[in-house]
Amino acid sequence: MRGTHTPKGYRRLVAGDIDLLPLMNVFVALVPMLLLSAVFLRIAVIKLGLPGEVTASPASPAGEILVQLESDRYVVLATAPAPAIFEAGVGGGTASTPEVRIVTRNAEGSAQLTSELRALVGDRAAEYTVVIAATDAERYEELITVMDAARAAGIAQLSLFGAEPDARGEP
Amino acid sequence: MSARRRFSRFARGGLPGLRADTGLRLTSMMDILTTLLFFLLKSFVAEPESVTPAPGVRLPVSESEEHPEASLVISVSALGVIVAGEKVAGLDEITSADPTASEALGAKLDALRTQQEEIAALRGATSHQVVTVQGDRSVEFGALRKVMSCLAAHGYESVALAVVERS
Repeated sequence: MRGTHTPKGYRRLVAGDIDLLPLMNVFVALVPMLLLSAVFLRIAVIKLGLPGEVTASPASPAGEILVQLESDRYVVLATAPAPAIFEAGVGGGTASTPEVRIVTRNAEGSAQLTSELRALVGDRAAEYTVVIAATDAERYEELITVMDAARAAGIAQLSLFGAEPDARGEP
Repeated sequence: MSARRRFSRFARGGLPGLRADTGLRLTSMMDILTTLLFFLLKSFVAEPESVTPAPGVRLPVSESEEHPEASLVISVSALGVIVAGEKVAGLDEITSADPTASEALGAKLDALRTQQEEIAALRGATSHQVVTVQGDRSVEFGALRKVMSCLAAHGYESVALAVVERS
């Protein structure tokens, strides 16, 4: 503390400490605003069903759609029964011939894949399972993109082809 | 009284009206802590179950909005396959033809499943094996396929893939 002189000559002590109160008040105003405007990462999950095998048998009770990821395209294979296709007479598929659609992998590929899947299942999306098949070198992120496309088409049941154990029960 | 004597008296705290207050005021800091506390309570109430991404894992972005539930967490990244915080195998080991890594993963999964079943039995509830897989976005499908095959082979019924919700 240092002293200063009053007009009468008396010494008056003046506190020389830094007053942090205004600075803390600024933080009190800033912190709630930053917390309210901050964007935090929200973790979600995609639930997978039990791995299934693709079959072309017309007697298969469940509707399955196989989406094969290739280097430059998605190959969509709808196996029988696919009542939405066969009953409407859409495409070239018949009761014994699976319906095949090709979608180019590009910036709009995901949206187009969603459209194709929606056209295949019609209003019976809840009855179908999408089985995703890919090479071992495929990036995991690409599979998530296909899953999002399937979910956007209303198909909630998803599984990965080749993720089941072999006949000996080994991976 | 001379000025010098008055000054000395003041320096010893003799004049209460002129005593300088040098105490540290914590009122504003407590206000900040209170604000932070309310924010954390609100976040906890809104989402009681939170999943923290494992270190070294960059989750893919997805449109999914399903909330995670309490489950066993397996992370697959360049650091390897980590089950419940413990590294079980390297990424190259799990994708190789050598079954050692798969066997180690299977043994770990069996041990954890047995533990969960014992806990469920003590509670008088049924054990429902749920697993959340946190895969790095750049991980190859081959590694993920091996891990999921192992999960299916060792009795894990429900598998969920952790993603970052697209904002």
